[in-house]
Amino acid sequence: MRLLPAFLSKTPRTAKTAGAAAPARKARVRSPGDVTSGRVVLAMLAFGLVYGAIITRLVLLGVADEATGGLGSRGMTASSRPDILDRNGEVLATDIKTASLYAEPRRVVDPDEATEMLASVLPELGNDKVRTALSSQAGFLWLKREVTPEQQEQIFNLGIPGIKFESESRRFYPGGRTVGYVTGHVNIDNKGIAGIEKYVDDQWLGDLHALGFASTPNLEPIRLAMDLRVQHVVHHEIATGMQRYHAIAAAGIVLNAKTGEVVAMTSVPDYDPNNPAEALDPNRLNRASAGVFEMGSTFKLFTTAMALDSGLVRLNDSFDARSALRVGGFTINDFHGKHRVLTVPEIFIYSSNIGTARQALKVGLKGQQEFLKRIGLMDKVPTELPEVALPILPRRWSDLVGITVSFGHGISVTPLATAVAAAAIMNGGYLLPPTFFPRSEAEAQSIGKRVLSEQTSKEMRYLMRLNVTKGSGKRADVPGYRVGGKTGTAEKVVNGRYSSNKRRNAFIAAFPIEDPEYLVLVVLDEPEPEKPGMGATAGVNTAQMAGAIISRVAPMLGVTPRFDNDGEQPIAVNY
Amino acid sequence: MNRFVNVLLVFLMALGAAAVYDMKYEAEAAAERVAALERKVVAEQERISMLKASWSVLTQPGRLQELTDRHGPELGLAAMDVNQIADLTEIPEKPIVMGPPAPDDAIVTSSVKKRKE
Repeated sequence: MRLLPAFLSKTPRTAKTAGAAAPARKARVRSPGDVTSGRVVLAMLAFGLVYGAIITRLVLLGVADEATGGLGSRGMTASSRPDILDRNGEVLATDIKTASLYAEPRRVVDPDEATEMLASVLPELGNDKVRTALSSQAGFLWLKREVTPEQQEQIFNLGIPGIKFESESRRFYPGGRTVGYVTGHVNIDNKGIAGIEKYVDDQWLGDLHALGFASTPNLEPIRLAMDLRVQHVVHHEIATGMQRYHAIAAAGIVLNAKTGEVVAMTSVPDYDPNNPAEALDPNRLNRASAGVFEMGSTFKLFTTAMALDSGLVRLNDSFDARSALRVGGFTINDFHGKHRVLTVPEIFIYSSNIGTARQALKVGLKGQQEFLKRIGLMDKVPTELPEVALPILPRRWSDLVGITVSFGHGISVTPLATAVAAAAIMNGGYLLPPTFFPRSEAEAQSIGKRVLSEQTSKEMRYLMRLNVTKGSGKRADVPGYRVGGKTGTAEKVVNGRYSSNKRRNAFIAAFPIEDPEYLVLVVLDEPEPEKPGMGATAGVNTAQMAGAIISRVAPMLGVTPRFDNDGEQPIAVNY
Repeated sequence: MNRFVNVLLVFLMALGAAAVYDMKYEAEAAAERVAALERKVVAEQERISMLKASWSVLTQPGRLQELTDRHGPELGLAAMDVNQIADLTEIPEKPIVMGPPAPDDAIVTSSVKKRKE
């Protein structure tokens, strides 16, 4: 520092001063008030501090995490939802980006001109209501939500001040009506209001949106247990059957008997989830799970299983069906009665009301109620779909009620409950709550509840197969797939009385019968003879529909066909 | 010597300032590129999901069934019969047949013959 003043002064040094300065390096004389060294130190400290701060900041920036970019695209009003896929990865529901048209009326310069120009692209906006709304001083006004890309471009090119677009997610269902009852649908704000969409909202998506994560991209897609191809086949067959047999409604369910997965479930008349306004029609309800019906003779499956499982009835027992049964002033008759003593298998394949009633009487009312409770027919089916109905149970269990319940009248249950209970009887005795999400056999084993003995299940499978080879279910037989099944023709109640020409038919089938993998249930409401002179019982229509479904669906589901036991009973039962 | 060092230091300081400005502008340009790329990525993702939805609509079983019903006869398509499903183990072994020794390769000899003619 001593050098600096010498450098800056630039005065030529005389030899005298240079000479005088060099040898004698005296300390600089400090006069009072000389604060130079203090200030120099202060300056050094200040610079040091500043540079220190810069260095620290650089180091911190260097080790900090990368900053996430700001909103690259505009935010969205309607929240994004995860895709819904079927068990094979086919898309059942997805988001597509659309533009929604809105206006900022206070920025609209000329409302009349704006209305005219908008009306040229969207005619429905050319009315006075829109004109007055655009004249107001409001800040925000929706004009039309979810316009097509072409409309968006046309309106954009008009260049109206104050008219803007907001990017929104719109829910699209490629499957349309086929999957409508399972996927459900959403409202205009993409909030699920039916089906699996609503279930997902109630479970976690609603909370996510409420916390403000409205436009989370790349949500993990939701996989369902449903197989789109099987669902289509079921939908096609019940729609064809409804037309062919002049019915007013139909429903179909395919259940995996070993895991409780709902592989297909649909009902007609149906609605297109892409057009949710159709869902408001009360006739368009999911009859498979949200409708309760008296299932009729399909209930004999449960009564016979109950009788055999109780130990009070054995497979080779006989019951008197010679004459009608009279209880409490009512007469129970058989349809095409045999008027003789019938064995238990014969009661099953001839669908004898009298024989079944006698079996139920032998078990007793308490045993009957306890069994029905055990296989879940007295409760609402526990599953993820919100649209599930409660069964209608008899208020008072008298002897007459016990008898009518034994052949499926006086108690109304959902077809889904029937299918689930039948699956329990067919799969070796495990009651599995139905699920719409994939479930492995191991998981099913751990949550299954044993409701029947293995022996009872075996005997019931024998009876089901017998009913298809020799009984009323012949039309359901599909070569190679060993189908077992039970028909159910239930008379409908009209004006408080059972009508003899309005019926609701059902057919419940399980295949392959020696170790059932799948269960098929078809319900047909008010079928009529296909052509005049033909019958309209369940063996004629629903059995045929179930057989058609099985023949198309079995190869898709990977059930191996076998031909070595053609026509013979594949199960040996020791009497 | 002192003057030289001081001049050098001032020069380095100016250089340092220029370098910092340069880095700053480069960083801004890079951030812009990143933002543009991210917008492109989002646009591509939207396009992909739109295409997936279109694909899904085109491969719906209902649509394919309609198409096969309409064009099946001319394409020779028929519903699969359950007898057509077999396992590899069901195919019998090829029987071993001892026949006469194979003649000269007929294809070669006939073409050679033709050329001679």
